[in-house]
Amino acid sequence: MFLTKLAIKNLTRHKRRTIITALVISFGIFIFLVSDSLMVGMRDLTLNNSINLQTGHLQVMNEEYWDEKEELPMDNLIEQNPAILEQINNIINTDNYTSRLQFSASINNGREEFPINAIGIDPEKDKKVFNLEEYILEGEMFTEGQNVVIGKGLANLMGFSVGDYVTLLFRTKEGTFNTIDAQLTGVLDAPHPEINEFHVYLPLDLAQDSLNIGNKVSRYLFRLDNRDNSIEVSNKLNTFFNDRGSNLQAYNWEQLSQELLAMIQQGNIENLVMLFIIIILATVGVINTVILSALERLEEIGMMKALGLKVREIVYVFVIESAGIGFIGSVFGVLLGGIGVYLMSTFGISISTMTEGQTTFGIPIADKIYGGWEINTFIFIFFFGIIISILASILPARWGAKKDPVKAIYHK
Amino acid sequence: MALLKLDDIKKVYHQGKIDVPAIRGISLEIEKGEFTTIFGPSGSGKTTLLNIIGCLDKPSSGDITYDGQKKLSELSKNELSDFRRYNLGFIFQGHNLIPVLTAFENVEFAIRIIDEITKKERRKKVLDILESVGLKGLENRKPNELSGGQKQRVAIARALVKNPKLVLADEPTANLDSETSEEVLDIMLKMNEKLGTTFIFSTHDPQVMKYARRLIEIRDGKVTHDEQGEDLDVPH
Repeated sequence: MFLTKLAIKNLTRHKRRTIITALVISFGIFIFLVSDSLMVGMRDLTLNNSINLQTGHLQVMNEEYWDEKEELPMDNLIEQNPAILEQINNIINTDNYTSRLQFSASINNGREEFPINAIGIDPEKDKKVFNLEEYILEGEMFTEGQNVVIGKGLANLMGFSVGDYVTLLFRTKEGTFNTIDAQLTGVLDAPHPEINEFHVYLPLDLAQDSLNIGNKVSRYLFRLDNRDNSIEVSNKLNTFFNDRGSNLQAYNWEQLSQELLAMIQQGNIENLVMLFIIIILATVGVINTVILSALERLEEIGMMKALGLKVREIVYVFVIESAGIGFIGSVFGVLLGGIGVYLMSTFGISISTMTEGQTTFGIPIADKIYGGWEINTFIFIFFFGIIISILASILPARWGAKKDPVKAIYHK
Repeated sequence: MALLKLDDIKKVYHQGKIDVPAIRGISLEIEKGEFTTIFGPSGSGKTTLLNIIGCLDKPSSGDITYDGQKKLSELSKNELSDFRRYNLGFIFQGHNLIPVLTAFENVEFAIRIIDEITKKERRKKVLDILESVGLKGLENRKPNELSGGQKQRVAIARALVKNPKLVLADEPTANLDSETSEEVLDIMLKMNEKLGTTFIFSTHDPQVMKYARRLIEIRDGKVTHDEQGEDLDVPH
């Protein structure tokens, strides 16, 4: 206890040095917390946007279609069967479902063509799963007929305005070329670059007729009351499909967002880099402080040894002192980080300002990212700062404590 | 029985390929309660001998028997630390007080690490010893608020508070003026008489030697003179 008291008092010997070392740790912690908050905010926003605009919570499609879904094939589509849909809805216990038909096409403005992803939707059902309509910038969402809605980026690229006629070129299921001439009823400005630049939405029945595929669709899409249930529900559905010997399979939003989650995982590497920076900052700061302290206190170390203190007891004094520096650094770091995260979560950071509206790096986010709170991160980094300070101090403390007492006392 | 028995102690320092002998075979016996001064010119080996007696340094050869039983060469580093903790007191030329602790806490340090007595007893003991060395009322001052003499008194109190059997003092008055030196020496002599503590000093100050009850002269690492009594022939 006395040695602990001594270690704490030692923190006041060189207040400026203690504060500077602690501030270095605080700075590292602050950067980590802000960066982590940004990642959390980006992750939440990205996933929410992806779920609300593209994937929903759950999708059902043909097992073979899943393997080739990136190519948007016309094979292995689902024949819409009201009886099966009713059974699915009974299992999922929701009326929030829709069907979509996706196919590859080119958009033509009379002068140029551009490859796009055409999506046939039933607007009434679609809005139970997606919030696409909220992002109509100009015009309105179609209800039926020869109409399309496209994203702002695509509209700008092709020079389309609401009311213009758009031509879509594509191949039918049989491989013959076909076109759709449709009026542009609305322009979207969604927080998702893919939607803004590559998607064309048209009525489902128009798409089905034009592709000559009857009432088939690519997939059923569902919104659950709680997205956390999606794994459990998809497992139930798959058991149901397997029992019936069906080719259908259910996929939860995590399976549907694998690429996105992988991208988020990449983002977590940034946090590891930040952690590494904290380790370096804290280690250098603490080692420097302990070595300086040990050199300054050589005579004291010698005296302590003469009094009968063992190496581990002297090391203990330095380690507790470093833990104290780590504690101060962690407290300030967490406080500063808390302020930073609060500001980020309240006011956000404008990505469009940073990139002049050119890109969101392919990530489905709005023009602003808001910081996210994760209390566990605060707790983790608080103790991390202290533990790193302790670990960093052990070797230099041992170096000081193992000094020959005679040399230490007489400062030779 | 002698408190300390030094048996043919030798110490050689190795400086590169050159061996520098500091102690060339010293055999001595120090009785309990002695007030002994080791003197000699600079580089004669006084401090080295004191460090060896205090287990801060190891002899190259020879052994020290403590209290007729313990051979110090047979003890491990940790056992030597424990031996110093419970049996020895040190007073250094530079007092070596801890600047962030008060006079009280600096003295308390020596018995806190022994921890065999209650807080109340410990407090009484520290206050008593501080009073004995004339520092009553200055307990809460930090070293930078004390004069050189007062600091050395704190160091004496720290060395004596645990009632060690042996106190080793390496030129304890070297940084003090003559008046303060006498005060400090008076205190140590008083403690020697009052507590029966054995004192061994190293010095080359004749004023300090006047207080000695035994004078041991060392030259070139050997004892050249060893005299005991009340009125010793102090060299000038």
